[in-house]
Amino acid sequence: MNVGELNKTKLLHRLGTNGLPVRIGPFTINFKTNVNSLADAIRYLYTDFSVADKCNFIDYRVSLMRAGGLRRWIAPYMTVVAEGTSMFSKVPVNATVPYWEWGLNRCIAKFAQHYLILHAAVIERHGNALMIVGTSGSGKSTLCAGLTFNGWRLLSDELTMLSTEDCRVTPLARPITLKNESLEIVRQLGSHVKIGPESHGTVKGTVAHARPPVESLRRSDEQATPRWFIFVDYQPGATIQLKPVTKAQAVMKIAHNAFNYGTLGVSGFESLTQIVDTCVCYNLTYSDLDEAVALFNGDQFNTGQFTKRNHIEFCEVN
Amino acid sequence: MDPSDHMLVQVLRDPEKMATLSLSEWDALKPQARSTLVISKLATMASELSLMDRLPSQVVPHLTSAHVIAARHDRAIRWEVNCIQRALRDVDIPIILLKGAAYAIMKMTCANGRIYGDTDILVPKDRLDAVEDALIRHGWNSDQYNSYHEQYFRKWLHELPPMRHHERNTVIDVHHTILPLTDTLRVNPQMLFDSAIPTDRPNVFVLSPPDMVLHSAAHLFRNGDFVHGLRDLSDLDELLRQFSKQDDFWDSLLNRATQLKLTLPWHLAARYVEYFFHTPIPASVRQTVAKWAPSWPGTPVVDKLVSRAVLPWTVDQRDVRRQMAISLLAHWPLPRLKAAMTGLFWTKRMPWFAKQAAT
Repeated sequence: MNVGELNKTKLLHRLGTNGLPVRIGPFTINFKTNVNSLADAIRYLYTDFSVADKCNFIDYRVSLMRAGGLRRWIAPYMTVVAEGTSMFSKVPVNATVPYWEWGLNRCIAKFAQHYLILHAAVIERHGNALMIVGTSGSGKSTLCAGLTFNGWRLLSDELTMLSTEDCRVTPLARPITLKNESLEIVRQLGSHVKIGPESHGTVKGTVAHARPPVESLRRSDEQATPRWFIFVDYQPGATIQLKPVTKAQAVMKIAHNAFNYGTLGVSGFESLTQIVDTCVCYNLTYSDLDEAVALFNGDQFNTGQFTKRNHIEFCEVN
Repeated sequence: MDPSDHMLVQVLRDPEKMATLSLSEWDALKPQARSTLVISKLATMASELSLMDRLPSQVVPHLTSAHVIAARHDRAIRWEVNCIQRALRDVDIPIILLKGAAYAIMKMTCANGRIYGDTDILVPKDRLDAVEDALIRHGWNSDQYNSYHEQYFRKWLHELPPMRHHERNTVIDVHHTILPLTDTLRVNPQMLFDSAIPTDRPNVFVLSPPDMVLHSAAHLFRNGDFVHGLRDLSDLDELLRQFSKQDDFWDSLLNRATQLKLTLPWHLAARYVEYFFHTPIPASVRQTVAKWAPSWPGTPVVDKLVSRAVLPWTVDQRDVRRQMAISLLAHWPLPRLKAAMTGLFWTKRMPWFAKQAAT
């Protein structure tokens, strides 16, 4: 059964009492909230996610609750708690949806240390994964959304989970977080893009989320092989440019953008170097999403057989 | 509530029990273990006892993850001690590592799978300024505090305001004694230095076994720091089990408690390690300790408060009941009258009150 198949009253009731176990990638995460605006957003954004009713083991329990009792009226506040540990202690009333998503990110990044977790978007085609690395505001999520709604399968827009054993990417498809200008750009991709409620004036400006495609959720147990790292840099007015990056530079950049590279110690170093060894890495500067989408849908990236040769030649010149 | 009913307490007492738990029992246990910081301890015990293969497959990744975190903490605390040692090399004074850092450096049994917070060190009070300067030169700095907060630390507490390293984001607490100056109990830090035990690192010491136990007890029951109560009680349990193998440990512990005037916290520590972990304490020791009970509040009240502060009540949302108990325990030891008569004391303890008064 999917979240969207529950009627609204029942969903609100379940979210407010014991919680709703939702299947997200390899995890069963229990959602709990007594904030109606968030419950509505969950109903909209998570509509195609399956409810893990038969499951008797919850991986992570996440809640965003309005304080009860007197604190409901006097100096009200909301908290995000994951696994009995506070993720955010003061959630602004107008930003419950972004804080919910950030809370989930934080929970997974903190507790799922059996993966090497990168702060990167990841999408897949023909079993090949393309990782998009970039800081906040670098156009990472925009590019991820652009490709997700143009032929690629969304694996994750924020957390790339790599196995430390076989170095493959585990899908973790969730709503794509979009901020400020990128919202309008992604909205214009077409009517198949469903964007949830907007939160204005958060610490990161206006934030909204795009519902992940059903295809991504249906295939959430299909892992992918890492092939490309793209270090993205959105620059207004720039012409699109793809420049190879040496492996050593790439490792340093990725380590810097990993959540738990240091925590994993030796195994983090070994996994990361092994992964980068099999990947081709580029710096991407772009200003127009359509151009970027056309580039990644071109022959170089869109191939059933991964032709490492042309990529590698490209890299070794440098 | 009898803690024996609590699954978390049962598996900490008897780790072999982990292999017999059903998936739904794990479902309840895992988040509780996580929120009390003992999941890494369970993970370490499970792998030491080779139980991993006998656990439900859904549980294993969580324990693997906890194991990774524990290994990271162990590496990080050693590195932190190296850095502190390097920063204080020129000051050339004895440094005593307290609590976690000491357990890790001495490779005590309680350091297995332990999660560390701040690093605590004890230095001679007359060299405090030199220590602070050296730490600042090496990248530590006081977190941004208002002047009240800082003044309170410097005037009434047993430590400098916590200092954070700007690169590693780690926090060091520099102590000059082990109890706040607001406390009615007084410990002469010189006595701790006199019996401190050298480590294999130059100028780095740890407390002697009885002092180590007494400091851990004082920290829990006088500073009232029950945020990681279960981990700290489990430390005490393992310290006692390890040290009791030494001859006349118990006698020296009792003598030392009297000498340092820490009989009250030691009474409570003894009571609650037994209560939670069934620590084997000899009957004669128990008799002596029983005489040192606090005059108020009554034992049933403290039992209830400690149980509530130590064991999680809910993991689904903010644990209000546990936080309430933690906060009550933090305020239980009444301050010295002299401290209570200063404005600074109240602006620290009731910041909201001070804020209102200021406007």
